[in-house]
Amino acid sequence: MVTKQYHEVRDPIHIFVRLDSDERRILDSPPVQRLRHVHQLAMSYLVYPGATHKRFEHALGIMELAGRVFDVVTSDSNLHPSIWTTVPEIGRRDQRDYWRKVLRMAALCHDIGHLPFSHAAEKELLPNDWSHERISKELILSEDLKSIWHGMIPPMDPMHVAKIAVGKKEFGDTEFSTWEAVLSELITGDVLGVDRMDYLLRDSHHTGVAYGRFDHYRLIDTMRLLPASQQSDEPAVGIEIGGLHSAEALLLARYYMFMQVYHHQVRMAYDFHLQQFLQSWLSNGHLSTDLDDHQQLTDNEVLAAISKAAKEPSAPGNEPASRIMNRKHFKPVYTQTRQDREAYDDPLTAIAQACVENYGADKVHKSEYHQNTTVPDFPVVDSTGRVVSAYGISDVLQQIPRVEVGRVLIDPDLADEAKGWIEGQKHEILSRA
Amino acid sequence: MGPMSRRVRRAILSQLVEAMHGAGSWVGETHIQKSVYFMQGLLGIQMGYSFVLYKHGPYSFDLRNELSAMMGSLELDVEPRPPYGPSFVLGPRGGRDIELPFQVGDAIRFVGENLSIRHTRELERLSTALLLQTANRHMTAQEVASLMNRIKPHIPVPDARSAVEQVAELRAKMTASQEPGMP
Repeated sequence: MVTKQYHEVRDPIHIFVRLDSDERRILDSPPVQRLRHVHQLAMSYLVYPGATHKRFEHALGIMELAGRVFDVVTSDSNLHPSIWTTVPEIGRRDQRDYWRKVLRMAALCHDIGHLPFSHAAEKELLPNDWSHERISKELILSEDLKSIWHGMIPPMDPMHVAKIAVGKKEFGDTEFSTWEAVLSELITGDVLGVDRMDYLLRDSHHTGVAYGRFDHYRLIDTMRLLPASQQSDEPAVGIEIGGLHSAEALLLARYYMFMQVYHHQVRMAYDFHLQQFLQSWLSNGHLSTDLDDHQQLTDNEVLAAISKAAKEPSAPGNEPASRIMNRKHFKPVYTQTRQDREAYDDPLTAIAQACVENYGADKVHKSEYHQNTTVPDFPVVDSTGRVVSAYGISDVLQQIPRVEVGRVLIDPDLADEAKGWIEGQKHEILSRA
Repeated sequence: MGPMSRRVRRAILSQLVEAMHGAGSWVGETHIQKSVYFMQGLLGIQMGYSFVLYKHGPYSFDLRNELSAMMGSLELDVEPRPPYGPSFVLGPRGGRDIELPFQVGDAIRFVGENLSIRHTRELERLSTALLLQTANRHMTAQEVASLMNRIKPHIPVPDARSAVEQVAELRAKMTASQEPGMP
């Protein structure tokens, strides 16, 4: 009997995801299997009922796209002349298969450190200097997975996988080769990373919010490794100019999905109540960074605990649990505008503080999100071979607004009164601040 | 991050952006990153940003987050400068005057006049040379140049060596411009 060397998994976004037996072993490992029980979008299913998809299928999706992108950017006919010198690894054809596999493995393991309910639980609940990326790194380098990496033929260096999976930021002074930095950018890049490509398409599909779609086939087909700019020979991930519209569409999709889905006002309220519950329920109010503890905790355990606590008035976390189970979430009473930000110094904090003084700290929550990237930019090679800045030539990229969201949320029983109060007092509150 | 307050750090960044424009720089993010690195690493102004060897040489994720936050609070904005890319400018709420220590003002002027107007390629080489020299004080200039080429293959050894020598010249220029008693 012939042992199957390649396996297929059906996927609603990419139709089929194919993986070899080594990749199947990593897929079957406990850290990756755990992702079957971690929601991709936390409690967004309470807003968009279809958003029940998990990190597991997203991991498969990133792996699939990573392989496709690698094949395009390393194809000899797509290589910019300078890349042969600036990325010497490109010329070692015997090593290309190895690095392709490393990239796909890194993509598969990129999110294994995620906590229950993904980003919702991370903020405030991990000790300083810890993040899900750091946990991913530790898991990739752990003894459990090392035995799989070393058992491959040829053996895979887990440090290669870890560096590419989580990127430079988690590795401090550890040296990254240019090649490793470029491969990591293919997964984690702010603009052209496959992590973002997959989650936009997948989240759009499952929520039913159409604005997350873009032509990823065209975009991937035009991706190239290029000098970062006219003024730098350092390689970066870019595109040839035929893909500019699809790149613009991706960035517009990101903006709309951030505004409509990821920072939906009700979703943000549930994130807050989830944090409140976890702080009461967890011993010491923090999530453990011990890898074994981490592996035991998924959304299942947290949801069971929320359901139980909601029914027991004396249980720790009863109030936030009740809010989650009974849809008594906080409601927005103030949304910060650009006009307010231009006219006043930190209007969101001023309004939130005034509400706290008027209604009590336990009835008010300040919810804010600041885009943590500066400007969407990447190199573009035009029809003459000249490398230019995407931001410099794209009217669309120059106009896409930053995602800056600020709201004051309040107990639903006080919301109507608070809205009227803020409307009447707003100018005085902001002028005083 | 170090002990410098956020307000003072942001004031320095705002004044640095203004000074860079005044010197003729197109003030891309790479220019700001390297200029701040020189202010910390060469001129001793401890703003508290940690740098690692990454994009175009020394790079600070803290500084990137700070620039992003300043864009969010409208202290900074960007304008397109085709075909180069985005250029940082003061935003609607930027440029509020805070008096900074004279050493900081001198450092901003030095960086503006001597470094900010250079091309990204040159800034990358100079800042990388400074970082590698600082981390490998026992190495000769040639050894640092070879190391630079190994880590960054797109920088040929002769160019790396020239960068190491230029950093030495900048140190000498900085020392000559300092008044007695300055750090």
